[in-house]
Amino acid sequence: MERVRAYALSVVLLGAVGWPAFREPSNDGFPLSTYPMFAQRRGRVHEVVSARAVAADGSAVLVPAALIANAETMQAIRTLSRAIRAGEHESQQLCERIAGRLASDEQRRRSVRVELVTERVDAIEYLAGRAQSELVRVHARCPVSGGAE
Amino acid sequence: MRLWRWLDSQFLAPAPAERLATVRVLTGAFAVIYLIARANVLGDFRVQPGRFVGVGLAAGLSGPVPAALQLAVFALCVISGILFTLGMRYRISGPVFAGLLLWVTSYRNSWGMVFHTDNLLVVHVIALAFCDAAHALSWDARSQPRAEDSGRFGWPLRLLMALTALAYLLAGIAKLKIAGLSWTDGEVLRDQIAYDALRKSQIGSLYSPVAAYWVQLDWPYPVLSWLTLLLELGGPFVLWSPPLRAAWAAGLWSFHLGVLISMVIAFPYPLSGVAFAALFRCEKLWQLRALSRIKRLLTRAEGMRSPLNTTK
Repeated sequence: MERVRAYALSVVLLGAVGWPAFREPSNDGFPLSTYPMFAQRRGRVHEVVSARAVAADGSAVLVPAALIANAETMQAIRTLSRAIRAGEHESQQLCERIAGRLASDEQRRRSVRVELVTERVDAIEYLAGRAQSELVRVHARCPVSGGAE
Repeated sequence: MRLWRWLDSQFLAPAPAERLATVRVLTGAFAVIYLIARANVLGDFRVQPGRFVGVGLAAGLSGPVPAALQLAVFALCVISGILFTLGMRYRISGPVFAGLLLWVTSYRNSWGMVFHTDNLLVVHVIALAFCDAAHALSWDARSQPRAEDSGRFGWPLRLLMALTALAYLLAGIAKLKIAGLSWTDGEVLRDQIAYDALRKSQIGSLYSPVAAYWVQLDWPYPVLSWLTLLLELGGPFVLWSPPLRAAWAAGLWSFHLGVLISMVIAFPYPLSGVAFAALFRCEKLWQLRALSRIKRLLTRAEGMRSPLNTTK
């Protein structure tokens, strides 16, 4: 009986965990994953998305992950990318949610509006301090209620 | 017939109950600490972190459940995790904890971002939940005589080893499928580290302070890429040999340390070492003075064989 249990559980678990090897790596899941992380060839030049809190004088600071999604940076990046990919309506909705959170954030009351933007940048040059990011597009713009205009 | 006999002799070879029980205690304790330390992202969904797309056990949901309900399930998961670790009512607490942990982690991954940090832990807990991992070092075993070495304590350890090797093998296969052998030219790895630091910097998050310097170098990346692929694909070929699998585990631990340093991405389960416990005679840990008191709490001293005497 023990032998049957040993082989049955092993076949089921190993089969389930190994099954994603026969899927497209991009077709990821949980807990049965294709583990595609770090596999993609990305190149050096990227278009990256961010949320900016803009003050009345035009200066801007980056909105932290916790005000976009939650404490997890990757979750915030994915939430931002998804909304922008989904189009104007979703971008605007996310922008307004962020602006709502900013309005109740003491440290960022100086902000008068939020912008969701895409910038183009050469990652290696940028990290070395030899290049700046270049604005590609503003996807959404929304006011921060009670912001210091 | 001969193949079956050989397979039985390898897979069902006896092992001490204490070894499997130690893996249960380490895995359970890790899971409970991890759940509590990450309660803000695993249990608290008062603010929805994105658009809900159910995965795993949550795949059937059309939308999120009430935050209070998820918090209650999370609390039950922690409680059952404690019972799992202590080996209390293990035939019930084991499967219950495995199910709840799968739910909690599935729900966490259901907001548009699939993380890869919890998979191995969940699979290990499921495997441990359905085997005799509480026949030593447990509340259930306190009044029972010491269990003899047996195949029923051996095969779960080998299953855990195989599951660990398979998970890393899949990561290697994905790299070969997506980028081919050109993944080893080093460019993919360097660009990945640079991209990771860049997008974190663009969201005002912590990114690796060494990444900016490190990505300016060319030479380390082909070497690191080859080593990574070798470790990921090599697991199934080294499990039969204790020294080789120790080297393999040390290599993977170093790989995760490198990922932490270069990308600030923590895989807590392998980094803690617990993910690799089944590969070693981990019951020897109880020889450490700091752990002996915990052992006394978990077992009746006179009823248990000292791990000092286990030789398998």
